[in-house]
Order: sequence, then C-alpha cells, then structure tokens
Amino acid sequence: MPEELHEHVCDEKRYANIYNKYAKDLHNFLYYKFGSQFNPSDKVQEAFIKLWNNCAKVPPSKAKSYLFTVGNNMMLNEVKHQKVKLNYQQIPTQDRDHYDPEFLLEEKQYLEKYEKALSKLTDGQREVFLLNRIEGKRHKEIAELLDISRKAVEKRLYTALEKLRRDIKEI
Amino acid sequence: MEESMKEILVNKWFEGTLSGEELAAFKALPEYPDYLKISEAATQFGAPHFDSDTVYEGIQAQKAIKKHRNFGQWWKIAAAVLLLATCSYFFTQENRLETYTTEIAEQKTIILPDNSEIILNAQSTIRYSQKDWDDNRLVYLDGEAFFKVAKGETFDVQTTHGTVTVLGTQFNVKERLNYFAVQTYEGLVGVKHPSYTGKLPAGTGVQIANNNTTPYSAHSIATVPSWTEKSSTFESTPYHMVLEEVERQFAVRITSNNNETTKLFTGSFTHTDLKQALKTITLPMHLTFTIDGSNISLTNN
Repeated sequence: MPEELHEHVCDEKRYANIYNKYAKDLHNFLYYKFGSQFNPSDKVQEAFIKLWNNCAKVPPSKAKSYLFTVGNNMMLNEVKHQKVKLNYQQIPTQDRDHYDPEFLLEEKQYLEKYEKALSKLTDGQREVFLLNRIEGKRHKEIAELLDISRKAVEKRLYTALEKLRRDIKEI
Repeated sequence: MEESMKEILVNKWFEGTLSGEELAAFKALPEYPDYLKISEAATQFGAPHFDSDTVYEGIQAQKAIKKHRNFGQWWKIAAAVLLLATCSYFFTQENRLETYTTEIAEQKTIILPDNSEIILNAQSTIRYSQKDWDDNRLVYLDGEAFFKVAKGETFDVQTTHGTVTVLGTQFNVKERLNYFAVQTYEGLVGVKHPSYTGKLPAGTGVQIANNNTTPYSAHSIATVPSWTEKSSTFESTPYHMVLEEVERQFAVRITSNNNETTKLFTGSFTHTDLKQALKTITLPMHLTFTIDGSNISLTNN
C-alpha cells in the first residue's frame, strides 16, 4: 500500500480520503451495535476530530482501528447498558401487492417481534448480522472492518440467525 | 442435520457460494422458510441515511475552532458554539420532510406552501421539505395523487419508477407495483421513466405496465381525475389492478380463482356503493361475485 509510506494523517487530503473511506462504515457499525437512541453521526464526528487532534501519532494503516475503537468507547461511555432499539421502516415501499389490513397487522407484529429479538442478540452478533444482511458486506470485509477472523464472522452470523429464528418463533 | 453442517450451509448461502446440491439440501431444511423470511425482513432495520457532507463540515468547523484556541479568544468559541447550536436546532426542526399518508378508503387534500394543491388517493403517501420548498419544489410520491400546481419554477414529482417535471399545470400520477401512469389535465408535463421519456400536453397521458408503454389521448374532456369525484376510471388497464383499486377504496379483500386478472379492462366503478361497483366491474368480464363480510370471491359465469 502506498499509504504506508506516510507515518501520519495530518495531511488534509489524506485525512479526507480516510474520511470518505470509513465514515459511513463507522456510522452504520455504531448504529447496528448500539441502536437508534444514540446519535451515531455525532460519534463519527467526534471520532474524526479526535483523529485529527492526534494525527501525528496515528499512521494511516492504523487509522481505521483507531476510529472504530474511539467511536466504540465514546458510545460505551454513553450507553451504560441500555437496551438496544432499532427502528424498522414505517412505510413499506416495495410490497405493494399486499393491501389486506390483516396482512399488514401480521407484518407489523412480526417486525415488532423481530425488533425485540434483535435487541437480545449480543452486540457482536447483531453488528455482524446486520452489516452482512443490510449493508451486503462480505464475510471478508466484515472480518477486516472489525479486526476479527473470518471464522468468527461465520460463527456469529449463524448463531445470530438461529437465535433470531428461535426468539421470533418463541421456541 | 448437525449444527456444524447447518452453519456451513448458512454461511455459504449468505456468500452465495452454495452448489446446486447444497442448495437443494439447504432448502429442504425445516428452518429454511424462517431463515429466508428473517434474512429478507432484516433490510427493514437499515441504518438511517448518513449525511456525510454535513458531518464533514462539522469536523472542519471544529478544526478551525481549535486553531483559534491558541490565541486565547474563548469568547469566539462560545459565540460559535451558540451559533452552531441555534442553527442546528432550526436546521433539524425545518429540514424534516413533511409527510402525509392516506389509509384505505381515505382521500386527503394538501395545500403546499405556494398554494399548489395535492389530492391524495387512498393508501398513498407524499413527502416534501417545507424548508426548501421555495428553492426546490420536489414531492416524493408513493401511490396515486392529483396535482394542481401553482405557477412558478419547475415542480418535480418523484416516484420509485420515474420523475415528472412540470410548470404550472394540473396532472395525475399513479404508481403501483410494475405500473406507472401520468395523465395531464392542463398545461404541459415532462416524464422521465426508464422506458419512456417525453412531454405530455393537456388531454394526453402515458401508461407503463410491466414495461409496455401505451401513450393515449383522453376521449372525454374531464378536467380532474374521476377518483376525486368518487369513482375510479380505467382505460386498457390490467384487470388485477382494477381489483386492487376496489380493495383500496372499500377496505375489502378480493379473491379470484380464474386467470382473467391479466386481461385489460376499460370502464369505471363508483366509490359510494360496493355492490354497484362490483357489478360494473364483473359484468363485462363475465364473472359473478359473492360477498362474505369483507371478503369477496369472483367466479366464472
């Protein structure tokens, strides 16, 4: 990687590159891990400001883990073990072929159960599952993003899916 | 099947690397329907939009503040923070999209900030930004609506299928699954859709069903769409869409055990009398109907 040649991120252009590369991923990671009651955009902003303030000490190759660690810690300071809440979209836009009120009610109840089940997953399971299912990230990308092994990603994905299935069915 | 085997299959499924044989084995699992539903429904929990540019500007502003700190001008920081807080308060207050939604069997009239008027048909949603309205007349539509646009700059209606651009004029936009139709009543309307781009003068319209485009001229000299006057009118429209419209206007559920639903229908039905409405839409198709509460079944004569 040519970036390795530089040992800091104090350069505006390099800094902007890092922002474009990781800001959205960091935002979505924080949202899926900690839920909607905290403002992930604020944490992204704070993490990047902290990166700038310490830019001389952080080589570009370490910027990603620095940002994710800082963002994660900032959230932890605020969370103090509150229940995770993820909002499902209120207006279904695609499923226009079902209009039956009964169907809509069932769908709503299903999503409510789903939301509860999601909040019962561990942070690790939820972030991996949603990054994969919603953001369409491959196993390899998630492993790199979170600094875990591919095997761990696979384990978390399967456990999350199986736990969701059991919780939604109330087995 | 063993847990470890299921774990392998699930992960291959997620990665899209299942072989034909593995896929068959996976689909045969009793858990498969649940897995599929869970996997599909997950998309409903997507993260909110990340406004990358705004956050970046915020970072740049903070960096600037830090530089000033060296001069010890604390009051400047205080003023900046206060200004930012005030701005962001008003920004978030006003930047929200106004949303209007109608339920089954409901219609609504919405007056926009420039006195343009929107009549929303049943089970439809519009959204627009109150704050940016004067600079950017843009309405997001999901469903069907009739627009009476006040004279001024361009006015855009955006749907999942296509965009309609106009000056002061009156027109109807209808957007359903695999279906998109625009009808102009006054003025000139521009339509941009993957399978049709063009301009529609008053009295003309275009209908795009399953990517088949049919431009047409109105036979009558109607000045408003019929649904705003308590009836729905169709011209060479797939029959299943007519049935869906009845469901939408009367809060009923229609089941049909024949395959007439792809045939084309021309005609109209009233919104005020269910029986009358059903008669007018079943007779020409040689069907009979039975009503059981809110369930209606159609059978061949």
